[in-house]
Amino acid sequence: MSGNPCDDKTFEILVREHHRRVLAYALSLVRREDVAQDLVQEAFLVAHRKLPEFDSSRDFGNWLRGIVRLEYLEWTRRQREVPFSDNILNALEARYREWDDAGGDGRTEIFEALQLCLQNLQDMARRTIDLFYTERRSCADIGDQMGASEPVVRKRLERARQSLLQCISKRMAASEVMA
Amino acid sequence: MKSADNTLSPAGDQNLEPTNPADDMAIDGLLRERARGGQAGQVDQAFVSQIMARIHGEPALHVVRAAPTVRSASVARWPRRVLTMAASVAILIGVGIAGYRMLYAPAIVAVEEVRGQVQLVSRRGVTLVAAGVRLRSGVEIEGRGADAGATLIYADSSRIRIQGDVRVGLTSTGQGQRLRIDLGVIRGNFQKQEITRPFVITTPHASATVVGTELTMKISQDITRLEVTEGLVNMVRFSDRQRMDVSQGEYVEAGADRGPVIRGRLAKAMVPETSVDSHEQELKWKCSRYGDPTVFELSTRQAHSGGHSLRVEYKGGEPAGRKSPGYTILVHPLRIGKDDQFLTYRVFVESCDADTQINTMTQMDDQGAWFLGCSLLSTHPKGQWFAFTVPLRIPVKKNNNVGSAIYDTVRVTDCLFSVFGGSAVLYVDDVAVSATAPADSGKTK
Repeated sequence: MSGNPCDDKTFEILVREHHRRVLAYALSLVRREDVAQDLVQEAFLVAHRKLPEFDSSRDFGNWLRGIVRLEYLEWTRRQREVPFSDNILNALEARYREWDDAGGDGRTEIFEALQLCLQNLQDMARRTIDLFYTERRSCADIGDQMGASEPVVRKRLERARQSLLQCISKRMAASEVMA
Repeated sequence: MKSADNTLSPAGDQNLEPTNPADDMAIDGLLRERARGGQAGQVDQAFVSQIMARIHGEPALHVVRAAPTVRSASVARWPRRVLTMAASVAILIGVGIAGYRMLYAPAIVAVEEVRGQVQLVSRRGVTLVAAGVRLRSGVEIEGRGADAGATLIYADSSRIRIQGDVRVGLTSTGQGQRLRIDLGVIRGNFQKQEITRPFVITTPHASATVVGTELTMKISQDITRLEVTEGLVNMVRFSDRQRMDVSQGEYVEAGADRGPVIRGRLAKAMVPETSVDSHEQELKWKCSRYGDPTVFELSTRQAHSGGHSLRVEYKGGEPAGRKSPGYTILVHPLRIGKDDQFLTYRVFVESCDADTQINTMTQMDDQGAWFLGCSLLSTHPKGQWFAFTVPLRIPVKKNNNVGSAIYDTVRVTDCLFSVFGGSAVLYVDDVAVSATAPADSGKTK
């Protein structure tokens, strides 16, 4: 049980503000919703416990992702899986930090930018993304439906993500300049 | 490292800059979260609630984590293979039981009626809910949009109505039924539950234990409001574990803070009516032998609530052999409770003559009929619902040509709804009795 209800209220605001970006970060690492939700729940519990130690001059999102990263490493240890290398984890963290920094103070938020960029994707790419992520179809299924082989579908997904990354970077940068 | 899925393949498009694996993973995570949690700006209230509930000491709702393994010196001496086999057998049994439960668990709720977009949310994805579907323990139902709604009926006939943007989770446990509401409005009418197996409703801010009652719960991001219209509900606020009994006609508001509990009496207008007929079931109206033939049927063309109403089409004029304008009378069973003071019909006029009127009476067990009130249809706007409300306890004898000399509400068996004076096509819905005149009562004479 927490001590101060005001702290709880503040913390709930932090949860509401950060949970989706942190879930995206965890999904980047584990690609499984149940595991990602588990990691993020645990991370928020740890953050709540250690909130008095948190230096408020630091970024809460960065701090939270750091906790998720530790939870992820612990999870891979329990699962006997080899975790991503430090280089990849550092680069991933840097990317999310960049989006956080660019998205603050009323500037374009990352999911907003993603939505806008998805609308600009070519039809084929957009359809492939929808089938894979929204409808949760396998690459083989998508290939059957679209008359393409599985490797081609994988390639289309990969290119679509590349396009999205570039589009998002441009949008966030423009938003930062305008702000 | 385990083999990477498509997110880690090397980039190869001439027109795009090569993407490093971390960037590809980052976009992949965003897309997965978008697919899971919806559009930009949306808050996953269920997830936030789970975290806050765990912070407040509640157990995890979805996540089951194995306890950390502690190997004592004696256990470490056990042959590893025996332990592995035992664990495998246990896992197989567990998986078998879980699979059996998933496949053969009995349905706990039937969906009686659905309006707007109501969907079933599961790990497999989202599917639209249709009337007649039966739901098993563990499912989540989500209403999207202000016009969304559904009525859920439990095996013991307890009914829950969800309205608007709402998300609820249904679970059946050995200790009774459980309903989790993350956001939105539900109205519940609960049959008497076993005292040891109460129906427990949980919101992000509080839990309510009901044994048999009628209530409304409205959950916003900051507050849970419980309105009890019948019976008694025990509510516990999570922020400080404060317990409170909420009795009939009272409301309580509990937030995430520990401030004073807001508590009060429900306004009279908020005390709900007792439904006589919402026209969602089979047709219960009959044509009286005293009136002219008319067309009357259940219809989906208009509805005050739910999906159906009673459509009445009466051709007025002077029937052959009679010089006075004709009339039709429809009869419906009615029992008047000790607190019932008003009878209300919701009426929608599609067309009518200038002099067409509606009239209502009560009928006694000796066929005596007592006039309650009438209304000129042309004084009401066409194409809109209005409430035709009349007092049930009339002070003097009126229009009783046969039978009783004294009006005794206990002896009332039916209500009579008449159209006379001209032709009309109209719809009748949500006939109800109530202790006070409903807020939407129209003018009658």
